[in-house]
Amino acid sequence: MLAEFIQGLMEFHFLQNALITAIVVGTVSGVVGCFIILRGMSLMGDAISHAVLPGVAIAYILNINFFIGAIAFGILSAVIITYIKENSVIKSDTAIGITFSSFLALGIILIGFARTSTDLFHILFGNILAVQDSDKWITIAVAIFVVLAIVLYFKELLLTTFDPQMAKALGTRVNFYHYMLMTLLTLVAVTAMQSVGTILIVALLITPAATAYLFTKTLKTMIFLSAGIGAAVSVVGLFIGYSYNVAVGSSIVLTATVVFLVSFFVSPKQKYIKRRGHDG
Amino acid sequence: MIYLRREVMEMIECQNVSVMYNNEVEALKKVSLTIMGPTITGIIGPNGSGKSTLLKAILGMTRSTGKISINGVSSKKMLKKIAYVAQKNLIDLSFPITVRECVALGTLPNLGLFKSVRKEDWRRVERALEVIGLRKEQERQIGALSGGQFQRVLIARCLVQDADYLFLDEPFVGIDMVSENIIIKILKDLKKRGKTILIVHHDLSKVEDYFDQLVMLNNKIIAVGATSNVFNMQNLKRAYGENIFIDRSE
Ligand SMILES: Nc1ncnc2c1ncn2[C@@H]1O[C@H](COP(=O)(O)OP(=O)(O)OP(=O)(O)O)[C@@H](O)[C@H]1O
Ligand SMILES: [Mg+2]
Repeated sequence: MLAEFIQGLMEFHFLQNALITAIVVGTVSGVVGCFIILRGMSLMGDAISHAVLPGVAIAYILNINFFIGAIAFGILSAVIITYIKENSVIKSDTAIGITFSSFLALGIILIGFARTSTDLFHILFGNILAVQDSDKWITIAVAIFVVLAIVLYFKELLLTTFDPQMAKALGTRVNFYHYMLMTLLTLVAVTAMQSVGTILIVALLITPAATAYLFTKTLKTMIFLSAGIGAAVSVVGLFIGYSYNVAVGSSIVLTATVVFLVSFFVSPKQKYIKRRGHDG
Repeated sequence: MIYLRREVMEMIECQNVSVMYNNEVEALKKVSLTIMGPTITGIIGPNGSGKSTLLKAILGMTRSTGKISINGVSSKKMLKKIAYVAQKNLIDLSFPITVRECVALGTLPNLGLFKSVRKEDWRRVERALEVIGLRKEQERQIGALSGGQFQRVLIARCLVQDADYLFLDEPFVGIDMVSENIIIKILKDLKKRGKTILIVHHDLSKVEDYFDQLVMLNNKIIAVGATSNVFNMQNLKRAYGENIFIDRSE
């Protein structure tokens, strides 16, 4: 089985593209995912990954690169959600629910106009075996950009994530970093659309990060471990999907789940025993 | 010991500062005060009297009207020169960060963009951990500390920041007497080195020991001035009501 996969890799360009894209997407999702789960924004991740859909559709209609449309709508949804949350009594999970379902619905209708139902299926569930060279290169470029942004702003991101109160007291523009992460999240969501599809992106973002969280006591090690897990499950998922002819996106997600479950029970820190916070 | 005199006098000035929450709670009413440094100033008053709000207003963390300046400059421009320990920290204790790294966050305000913590900063971190008595625990994840130990971590972080001003909102809650004494000694030493320190404090029996000056609040200013001048029954009754009783034994 493995031999066949390796044989395929040497023979078929589409499988090489798939492998590289899967690794890059897995890695970068793992990195960004750490910040998402530590900020308690898993739902936001889910929302944005769905909200990019109308942007993708409009990009198809206007015949421009789908990254542009997706980013515009991803950020728009982040702005709307944050606005509703901060200017009304409505809580963020409700704001997220309203926004992302509307965007998803709008997206589905627009895609109906733009393309066939096959395309919709691929956008929703991913189609890594059909990744073109250009998509692969864009994915790599985006990943480099995202990782670079995180490396450069690491200490600000750490501070605003860990202790927003201190950040505010120092006059740090906490909102700037919030939107910066939302932008990075949107970028990652668009690249991950190819490998696992819109519906399952959130899994690639949070499951490897959550797994790494169980084992690490510094943010840096958490990020490295999460990136590694993200890449590894993507490769394994691709292998399973290709070999058994099942959906690759789903294989990747379920592989990540299995890794998480095993970790959950063997984790030395046993973080599943919920810690009390300080209330003083 | 001789300390170099500073050119500028340290000074915090509030003029008619008012803070309204949700258009209904008036937490501060036209507060005007001047705090000269280097000193240790206590902020006292009953629960809900606006002590925390006063610090937050100076830090620009809450919307206020009136004028607040530090050394004659708008306080918003001075934020990096203030180290702050909040009364209620909203920190997630299971966050992947060690004691050492958490204390090192105190160096960030003095680092440029894209720069990371320098060697000499790590030395300062180590010294702060030493004086606060947490050197052995420095590689632990912060969740693996007791409540009082974590409070000491936050104070160590504040020390590392090496700011001209220290704002501590009830820093001794949950801290044992020995550590409290150590911290007060450090603070008194910092004052001698030119720092201006504001501490919100509840234990009235310690007031004369700890503070050069007092701000007595009850949403409005009850009294400001040297502790020996303003710490008397008359003012305390105005701040806390008639049933006040202070235990000065010990
Ligand atoms: N975020 C907020 N929203 C609404 N009201 C607030 C808020 N923070 C404080 N208040 C109100 O403002 C008033 C002053 O609060 P503050 O926290 O400054 O009091 P404090 O003197 O620090 O009290 P304590 O001794 O309990 O810490 C109180 O009546 C409080 O209920
Ligand atoms: Mg208070």
